[in-house]
Amino acid sequence: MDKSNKLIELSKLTVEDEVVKSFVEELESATDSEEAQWTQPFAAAGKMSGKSITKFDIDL
Amino acid sequence: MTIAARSLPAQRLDDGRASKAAAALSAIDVFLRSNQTPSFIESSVRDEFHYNIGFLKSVSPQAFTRAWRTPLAYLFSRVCYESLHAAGRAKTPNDAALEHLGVQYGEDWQPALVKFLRKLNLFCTAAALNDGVKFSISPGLHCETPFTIPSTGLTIAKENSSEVQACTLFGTDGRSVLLQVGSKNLSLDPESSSNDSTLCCSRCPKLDAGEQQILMQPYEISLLRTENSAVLTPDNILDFQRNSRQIFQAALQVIQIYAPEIFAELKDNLQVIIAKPRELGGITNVSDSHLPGLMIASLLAEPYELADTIIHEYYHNRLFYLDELEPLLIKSDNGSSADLYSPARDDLRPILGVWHALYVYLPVFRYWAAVYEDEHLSDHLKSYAADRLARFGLHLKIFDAQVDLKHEAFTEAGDKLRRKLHLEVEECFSHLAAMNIHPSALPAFECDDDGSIRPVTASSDGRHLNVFEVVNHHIVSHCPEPRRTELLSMIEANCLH
Repeated sequence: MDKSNKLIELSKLTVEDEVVKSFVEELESATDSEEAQWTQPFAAAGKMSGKSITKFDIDL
Repeated sequence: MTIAARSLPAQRLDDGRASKAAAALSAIDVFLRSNQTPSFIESSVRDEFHYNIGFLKSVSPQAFTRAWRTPLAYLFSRVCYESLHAAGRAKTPNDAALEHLGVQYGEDWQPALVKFLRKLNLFCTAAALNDGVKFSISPGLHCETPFTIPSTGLTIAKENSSEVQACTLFGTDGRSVLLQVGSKNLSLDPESSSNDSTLCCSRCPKLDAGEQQILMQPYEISLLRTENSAVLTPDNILDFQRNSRQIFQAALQVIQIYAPEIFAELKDNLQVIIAKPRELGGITNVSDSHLPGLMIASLLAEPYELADTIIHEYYHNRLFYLDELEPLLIKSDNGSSADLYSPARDDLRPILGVWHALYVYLPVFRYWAAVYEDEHLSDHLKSYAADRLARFGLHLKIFDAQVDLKHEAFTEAGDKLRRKLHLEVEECFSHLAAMNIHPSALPAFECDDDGSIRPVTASSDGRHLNVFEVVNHHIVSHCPEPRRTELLSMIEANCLH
């Protein structure tokens, strides 16, 4: 499972880290922003699932 | 003639996301210790979370990274973060978070979030097993079998059964998983045969992908009681992974041969494939933006067709990643109504679905182009590859036209990519003519679940239909007017001139 060539050092992710700091600020902010930073400006949620399509012996 | 493969910049797809998930984890810990923590999260849960963060900081970065660079870790931190964000504003979390919290309509989501926060214990247990050190959960974590310890491939279950058995997880001594069932204490060592008759601990099969491995772990999402996990209920689903392993391995080899650029990227980013019988669950294949690096794929006995499925689902993962780097659709349009015809589905789709289809069918088309050009291919596979090229060439033209209808739904970055894909569709379609493949003159084939390749026939007279007729028929059957007439004219102009 370990596919990393870049290790993540959790002990270095303190509140001094810029990303951690911005996440903390957003969580603690009283501002009624639209969405959590995770999705804005990042990704929207989505799920792609295939469903069976018409197959074989078409009634023309 | 070969069509150049399009590559992402030289970076791992999941580097940014795993790091971001770790940053969010640290931020959640800080937030839970602040005086702004929602009052429904009792101090014992906050203290445990903080203790667990301390433990994860104490293990080796290798052990933490291995436990954390998993689809479930990304989901865990994202759902916790988004739910706490909503809680801080006295709002209800978004629909995706509620689904992953396992909250049914009308249920109170706050107790579900409290339970969910305690699942950090699973990642601590995984990191401890990775490092060979002890980790204790007190009080124990309520679990229901079958389940897995993320990243380890271990399955805790009743032997050969998906029967639900309530148990309490107490962590690990560094080698065995420590559990309690009723009043009975269990120490399950996956490396020995001393597993208790009540429950056993086994390893899931793995696929070799170059120097990497891909887990075939059906229970990687078992802790989520979602519609996707519902497809994993048969008793023999773990055996199904073992029995499917060889054909999935063959499919990866096919990708390595015919789409080496895709394989080189895929092997570093695809972490979990869950195989399922095609008839199970009312769905064929699934990719989820909350579970990067994981796909659910229906078994097909034809490795070339299964390779098509893997590339297809991997590119859904890839587009979710690109969308996370920079949004491609204007947010309000992500949840837009399903009003667009898709040649790949019998139901109408929202713009997000058709946009994804346009993106994923391009590499699949290129893959089949490489297969078709193999001079040593058997006749029946050659015919099937020709069908795929003709059919997907037409599908791409339709996806492109449908996406163009909603061009105002794209951000600047999305519009740039959309225009690039349009050019690639034109390139693919012109490639068809260069290969002397003409949809109106090409017999249509389908691949059955058992791997047999069968002609598509007219039920009225048994006549072997051509690809143009099949695509045409689907538009007539499933596309509402006035778009139906427009698309029929478009594909006629492209096929019958």
